[in-house]
Amino acid sequence: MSGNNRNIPGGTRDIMFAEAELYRSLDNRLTEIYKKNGFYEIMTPVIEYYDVFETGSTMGQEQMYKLTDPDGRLLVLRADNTTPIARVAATRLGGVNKLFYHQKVYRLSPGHTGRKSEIAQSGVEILGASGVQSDLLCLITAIETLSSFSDDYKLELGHVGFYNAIISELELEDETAKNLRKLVEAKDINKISDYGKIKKIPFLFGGEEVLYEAKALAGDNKEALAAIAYLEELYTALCQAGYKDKIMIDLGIVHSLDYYTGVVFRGYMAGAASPVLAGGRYDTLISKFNNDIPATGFGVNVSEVADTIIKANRDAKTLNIVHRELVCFDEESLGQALEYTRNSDFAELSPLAGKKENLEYAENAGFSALICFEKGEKKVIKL
Amino acid sequence: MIRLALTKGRIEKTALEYLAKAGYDVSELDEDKKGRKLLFKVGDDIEVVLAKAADVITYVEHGVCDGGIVGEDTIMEAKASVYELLDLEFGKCRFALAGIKGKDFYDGYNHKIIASKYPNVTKDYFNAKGIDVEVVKIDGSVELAPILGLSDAIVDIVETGSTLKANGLEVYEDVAPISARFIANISGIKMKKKEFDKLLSALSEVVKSKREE
Repeated sequence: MSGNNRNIPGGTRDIMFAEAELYRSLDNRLTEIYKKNGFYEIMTPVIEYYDVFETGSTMGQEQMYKLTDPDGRLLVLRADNTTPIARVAATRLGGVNKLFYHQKVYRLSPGHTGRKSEIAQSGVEILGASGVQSDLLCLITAIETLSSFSDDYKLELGHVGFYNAIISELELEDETAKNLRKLVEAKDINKISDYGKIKKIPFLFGGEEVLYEAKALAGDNKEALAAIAYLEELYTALCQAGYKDKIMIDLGIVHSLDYYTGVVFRGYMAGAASPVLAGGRYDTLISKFNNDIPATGFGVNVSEVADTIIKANRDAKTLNIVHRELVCFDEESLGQALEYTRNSDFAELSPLAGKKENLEYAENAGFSALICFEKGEKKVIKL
Repeated sequence: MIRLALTKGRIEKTALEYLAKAGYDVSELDEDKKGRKLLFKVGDDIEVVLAKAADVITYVEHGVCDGGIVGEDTIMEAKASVYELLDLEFGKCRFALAGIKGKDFYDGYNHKIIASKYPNVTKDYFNAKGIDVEVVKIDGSVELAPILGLSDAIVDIVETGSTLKANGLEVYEDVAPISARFIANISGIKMKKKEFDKLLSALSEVVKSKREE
């Protein structure tokens, strides 16, 4: 069947020219920030055993691309980055490790929704450290990451301990608790109005004042108060470092509660459709791979960042007109052509032979001059 | 500036009435003025686009609109990640499971077939009950499916129930209540919190006063 031999699967893209350059430059920019903060790069296979994700990920199997290995065992395309890194940490690493990655993830999504199935991600994980310092290092790296995309960004902090503490007061059954969390996550106020205190949680977002409202809501719930106190500690430290107007609080961030164990955060950038950065502390994940290592980290949705930057520049004329020269040559003149090209900042060798073909190519591709080396002679044609 | 997507038609009309009550100038959208335009200014801080219900959610999820007003039925079917911030309490009706009058839906061992315009809502409902059903998507008058014998029942929007009655059908059970909701893009509301706060508190005031009427 060759019905699709000229198409690509839904949710994927061919990326080229300025867009490809943008992706590359984002990766480079982030690498610089990560390295400056002492992170080392890790690369994991694009295929993993399904068991790895079944153990470590909260994602449903219906969202994973599956294939099999020669022994018939189920494999999946890398569905997230943190799970494989947790596997590596549990099986191959010891002590404190700070890692970063630039790797794509693959997710099945329903057709015609405009959602991507191949997503470029980048991020960091701090393994083997818990407490304020490691959380702050993670947050600072997140802030530096966000500010490298745009001046108009916000980092939002939450703490899963707060929600967990409040919800445990209600003594709900597992199923009810799970549904309730989905509603809180969607800030679907209408369906949670029967749950007393819980109905206020989706609105606990904003600035510093949220911490006071949350304290009032917590009452004498010690665990909830401890979570707020910890957030306050981080918030104060970040304000002291000069980031007050960039930090927000949202105690209604309750996504992936089975996964995160402490502070959680999200990064927003003006013009983006969804948070471009998300992360938090996940102290129990690696223990699922039989090695008890505390960890925190975040991931950046590089595809969303790139889309946002492209969207913002679509109307603006940002195309740089640069002087470029196309150098064509015959077999006798490769030496001269090479010497000329290597000594110029804007000349490149042509892949074409004839003068006519070269002239046409140079004009179409926007070169400003065609330099011909024929039988050792140089000729310049300005365009 | 925030951009809102309104569901064309009935929801649009009431939504505009609410916005006007909340103190916004909606005169650009007057029936005699609006012509074939799709994009309107409402006061200084709001831009409004008119779209079909499912598209309202698509525009908001993709962030090209910051917020929108759309029925809960469309939200439930779309399964999009948007914030559902306010029940505007108009356009009230419900999703219901209905079928041939007098039949016991749960009777018998056969694999139940349900016809619906809302396959996701139907699947979610029976999944939650732990019942495996086959859902057949129908685009037009769903009432025909049980009458012609294609399905055991339907899941559809029921307002007064008169269409069901006229065709010898009845509601077996309610699935979920429906009304118009204010939704927001999850990033938009964080980046434009002030604008949203103002609009939402004004709208909730209108909802409250309507409730007291």
